Amino acid sequence: MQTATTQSWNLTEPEIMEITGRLDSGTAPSMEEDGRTRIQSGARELVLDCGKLHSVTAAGLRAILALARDMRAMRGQFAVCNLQPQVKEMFEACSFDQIIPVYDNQDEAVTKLAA
Amino acid sequence: MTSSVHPPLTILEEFLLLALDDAAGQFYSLARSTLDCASAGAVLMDLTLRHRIDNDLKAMFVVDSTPTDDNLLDPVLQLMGLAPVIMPRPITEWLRQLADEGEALREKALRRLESRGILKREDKKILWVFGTRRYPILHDKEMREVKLRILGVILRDDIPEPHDIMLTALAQACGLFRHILSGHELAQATPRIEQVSRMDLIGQAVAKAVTEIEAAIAMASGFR
Repeated sequence: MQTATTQSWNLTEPEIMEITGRLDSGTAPSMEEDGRTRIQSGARELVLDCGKLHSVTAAGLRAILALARDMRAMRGQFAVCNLQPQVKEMFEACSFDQIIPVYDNQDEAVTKLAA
Repeated sequence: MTSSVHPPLTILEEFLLLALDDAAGQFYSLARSTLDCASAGAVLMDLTLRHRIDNDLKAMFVVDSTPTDDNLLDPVLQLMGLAPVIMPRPITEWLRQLADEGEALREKALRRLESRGILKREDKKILWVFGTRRYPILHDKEMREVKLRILGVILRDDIPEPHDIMLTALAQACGLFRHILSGHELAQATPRIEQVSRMDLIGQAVAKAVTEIEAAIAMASGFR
């Protein structure tokens, strides 16, 4: 089972965090830790680009939710974009799309968060 | 006595405190099969929060079989670990299987609440024949804390912690909010309760199972 997750960063506002592979109980902690580090370092607008994320489990969703919660606590903005079919299905099944802003692509997310 | 050396309460223990009418010392009127299903769901939720199992829309699976050192959870983890990896099973199937152990799980959780001095067990006979069991609360701190936390979740717009999402989903699945809130409060909080409850797939599976149980009971009683 592929469980690789990688992140890449653009030091712009909003910051973009790309996730690749499968976000599950094995990979979610490091993703969450990376996101937390960004927030603690001062990021107040963070977009999670899920374009290369092919699947997510409940543990992965909880990690995403934790970042959204941390960002809200800092009065910042958090969004996700580029949801692939399985990830989108999980998001919708758990109504996460009603809690976390979801955008079709990075450009739209950046524009909305910067507005 | 309660003390800081105790580990945090499990979801099942907190659920039982929510389901207990502290004035009467008895559980709110819930079908036994509903309680069994909720108890099974609570244990799956606890194993999830301890990173031992994970799930997606199709299946629930063990990701770490290391014992939790919790005698409520480890037998279930062990059982799940025996399932063939090549045949992942959906949450509903695990719920169905574990619900058979629902009463035993509750009994274990109630014994633990007793041993922590949170409640006590009282068995009495009515008319020297009919046995009744009550669970008077000895220390209401834990019960008050659980209720306040869940009220905070449903009355505020914050993003809740996973533990509280799960407990809210269980309480909603079993219809506990109608006992905890006034009619007016319930009407106002229902959209939020439903939103939070949808955030957890195990909670959704428990709600679905409880709905099916209630439908079956209604059918057996001659109502549709």
